[in-house]
Amino acid sequence: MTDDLAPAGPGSGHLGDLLSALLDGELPTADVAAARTHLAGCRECAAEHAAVALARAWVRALPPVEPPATFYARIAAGPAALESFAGLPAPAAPLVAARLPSEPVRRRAGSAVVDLHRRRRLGVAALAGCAAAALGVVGLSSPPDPATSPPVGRFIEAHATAVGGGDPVSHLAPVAVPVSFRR
Amino acid sequence: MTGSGVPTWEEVARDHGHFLYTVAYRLTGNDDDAQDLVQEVLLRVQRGLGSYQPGNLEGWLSRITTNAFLDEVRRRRRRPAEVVPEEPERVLPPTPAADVALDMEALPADVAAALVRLPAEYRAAVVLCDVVGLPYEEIASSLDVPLGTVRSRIHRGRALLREALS
Repeated sequence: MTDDLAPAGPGSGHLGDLLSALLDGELPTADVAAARTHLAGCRECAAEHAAVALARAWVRALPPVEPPATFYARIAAGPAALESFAGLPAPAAPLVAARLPSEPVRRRAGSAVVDLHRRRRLGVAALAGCAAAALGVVGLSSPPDPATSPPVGRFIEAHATAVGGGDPVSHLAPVAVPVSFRR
Repeated sequence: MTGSGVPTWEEVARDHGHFLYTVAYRLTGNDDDAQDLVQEVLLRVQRGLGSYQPGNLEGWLSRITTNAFLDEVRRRRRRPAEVVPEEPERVLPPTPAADVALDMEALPADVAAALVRLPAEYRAAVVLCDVVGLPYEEIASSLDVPLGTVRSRIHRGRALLREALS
């Protein structure tokens, strides 16, 4: 970024960015009187002074922003909890207002946790992905079991014991068919 | 607070969380990015508390916040497919009209929206000056730029704001 764009300033006959310094009390004392004298006689500088004074007042009048309640829970979790979610990919959206302050900085109760833990959600998804990938690798690399038979009979017995109303399979098929995954 | 005057991380988070959120919100313009920025700031605080010299704590926090913000802006600029904030050369306003009305009012929401549309470097300088209230010298130190650059960014940022809300 170029910062030497000032079309006005001490060398141009106009005050330029010295006007903001004057407003902020940042102009050297020795220069204040000269700046005010120029300001009183220069219509262009007076207009610019009024414009930046107005913008300055507007920004200074902005109220503090109240964070959602979940914000405090998030930071209260401590640095270790924050650290565990840092470094995850941030969204590609530009850092500009997606929701303007005029809009309520509120969320529906049901979505608050999900939204406010975007990175947590990403982290969980990433972990789940890693876990799935790891499981996939294990599954691919393990030798196939030559004869894997699910213990259907034991499931039926356990279910009947638990619910006391017969098994949920035998009423569908008169005889439980043994299942084998032999290859 | 420890005996050395250096706050603990928990004290920073508890006592200055609201302040950090406000600064982060003014820089980013939305809740999600503000919370992510505060999170990053608190992680940097944790790493930096050991070297913190007791003094203007909120000034120190503001410095970390703006640096974290600008780091993220630069990181996103390096991505080829993302939106880059407008170059200031393309959005500089024409010379303001001579009949600027000082008593003109603007809604805070409009001001905040215009603020987050400023080029990031201008926005950071304006926020540090007009939201945090830091003197130019501290802003220069925070942003690691000369004093004249701070003055220029603040002035141009204000001029752009005024133009955006005219």
